[in-house]
Amino acid sequence: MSVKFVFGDAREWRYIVQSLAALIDEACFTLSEEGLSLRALDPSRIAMVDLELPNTVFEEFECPEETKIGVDVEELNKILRRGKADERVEFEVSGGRLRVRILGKAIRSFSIPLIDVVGEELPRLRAEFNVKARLLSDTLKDAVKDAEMVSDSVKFEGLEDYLRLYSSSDRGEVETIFDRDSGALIEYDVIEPSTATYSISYLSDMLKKASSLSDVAMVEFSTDRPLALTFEIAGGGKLAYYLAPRMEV
Amino acid sequence: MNELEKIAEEIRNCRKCDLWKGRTKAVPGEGNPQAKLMIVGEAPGEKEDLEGRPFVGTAGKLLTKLLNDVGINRRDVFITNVVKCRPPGNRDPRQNEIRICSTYLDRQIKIIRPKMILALGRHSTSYFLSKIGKKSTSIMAIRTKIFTISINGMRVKVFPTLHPAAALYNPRLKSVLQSDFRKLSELLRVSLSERSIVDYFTL
Repeated sequence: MSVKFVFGDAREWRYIVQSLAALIDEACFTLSEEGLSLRALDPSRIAMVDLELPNTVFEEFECPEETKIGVDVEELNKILRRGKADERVEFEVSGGRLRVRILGKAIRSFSIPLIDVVGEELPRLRAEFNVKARLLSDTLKDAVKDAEMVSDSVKFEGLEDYLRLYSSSDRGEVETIFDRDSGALIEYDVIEPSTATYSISYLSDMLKKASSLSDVAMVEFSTDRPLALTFEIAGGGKLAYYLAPRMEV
Repeated sequence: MNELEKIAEEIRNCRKCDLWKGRTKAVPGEGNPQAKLMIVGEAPGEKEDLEGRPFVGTAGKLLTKLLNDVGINRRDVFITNVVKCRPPGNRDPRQNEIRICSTYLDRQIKIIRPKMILALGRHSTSYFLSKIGKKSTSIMAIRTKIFTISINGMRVKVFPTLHPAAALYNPRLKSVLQSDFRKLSELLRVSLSERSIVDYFTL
């Protein structure tokens, strides 16, 4: 049985894989007739990544039955770094190996061994988000970078009229306000004002590459509950990160 | 024999660099295998070399006191060094010794999965900083500035401070250490409050 899929933009696949590499070293993709998916915890179990790429995202998609493929993310990343935006990328699973072909002015073929990834079945996250904000991903990245100047955590405050990111320590205080009039906040919905604090190290790694996938990021959270950070992928796919809050004790 | 004990046994039999020639006993480290705080010094001293245990000399006594003063029991943490054998005459460990020996440390960290590492002194801090591609300037400039490293994909916060031995030579530094340990205790409290994302899953 052969599994094969072709993606129209090699550079976008590179961003997807680099976004996964922010949290995990080994990936176990699940392929089925419907498409490709992955759900995995980072080794510290503070965060989770959830990738969904329906078959409509691909130019070609052949997968007669559910198949799991385990790969070393860094090895895959090395290959995809060779791809450009105007090149297509083809993946084929056969004989215990993943063959990657970058289709541009020339056809370049790479092959890496599949690995056994011991993954646990992860149930769905309880999704009770009282604050939902769609905003420009670059501005969110800047806000997190600013917060990093003084602390290793940042407080998200979702109030009626604005979203505030705030960090403080004995080194100083930093805040960014996204209000409804600012160009960065595209949609904003607050069911109940909420506050939660998250690790900057994780947020920064998540935003570093994923912000290249989409100009817009969806941020969702509730008081002292996980943060969901979602990027839409052209064609109907999505990459979502979930990050556990820091609790004051 | 658990994984940590296996590593300890490997360290006791290690001959990967020349330090084995001068050692009495290698010092793999000791403490709680599920410690949330790991303390990493530079290399064993004379008393540690004789006993095969970390931080049992005068600097070790000060370390134990600094921990006790902020409510941390030595039995609850895991204590080790970047280099596991005593360099002759207590000289600084050499780069090749650190490179070879730190593989044991990385494996210990991976098994223990601490929330935070307390890096004691310049050499320990430099080792962890090198993992994020940074060079250490002076320990006084970087002390208490927390940074996050990744070991085999696992994130750990590193809190650098002075080596307790520094305070033995310069008593003024004792109050600096006391202040740093108070901050460490507070940061550890916050760090422990970071729950796993799995805790929020619907079962």
